[in-house]
Amino acid sequence: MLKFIGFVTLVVTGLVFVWLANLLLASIPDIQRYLRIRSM
Amino acid sequence: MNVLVAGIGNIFLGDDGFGPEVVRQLGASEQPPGVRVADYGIRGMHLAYDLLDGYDRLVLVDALPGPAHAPGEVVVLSVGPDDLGEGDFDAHGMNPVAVLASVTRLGGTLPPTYVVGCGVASTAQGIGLSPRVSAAVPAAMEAVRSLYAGAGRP
Repeated sequence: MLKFIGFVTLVVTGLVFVWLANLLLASIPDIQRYLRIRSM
Repeated sequence: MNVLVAGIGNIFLGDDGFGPEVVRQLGASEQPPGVRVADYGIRGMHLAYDLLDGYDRLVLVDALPGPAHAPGEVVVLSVGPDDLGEGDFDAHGMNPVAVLASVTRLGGTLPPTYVVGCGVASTAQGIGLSPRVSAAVPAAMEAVRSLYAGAGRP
């Protein structure tokens, strides 16, 4: 049971991070987003 | 007015080959005087040195990775001087920030710069554009042509 809860917590945390990253990218102007992504 | 239209991207990464494909199709027809259309692929250093030839306008054609644009969505972006930082130059890759920032460092002047971009479906390894991105090539060509209208005139 604890393993299952740990797994679910890990997945949810990962999804939250992805959502926050997308939110951050969506909040900056298009050209800066393009240049930042291309700089990675 | 001298205009450089530069297709950039990696043709071995699916839709990342959008820029090279657009300039390939553009280059198949005759261009107005003063317009140079070239595929730079991932040769950032080559592009940086060519920009020292003194162009009046630069049009980059590139794929737009990320979730902000739907696959096949064509947008035109303008690059302002404040958009560029220092950018570490990579002689073996294509980092637009590093390439554009290096022009000034090399003693040149960055002309007004535009990006004609297209949202991608996949940039996984593989040759060839996805159907939606491939269908967007004519729209991108029109966008590029609208940016060099008037080229060749003093």
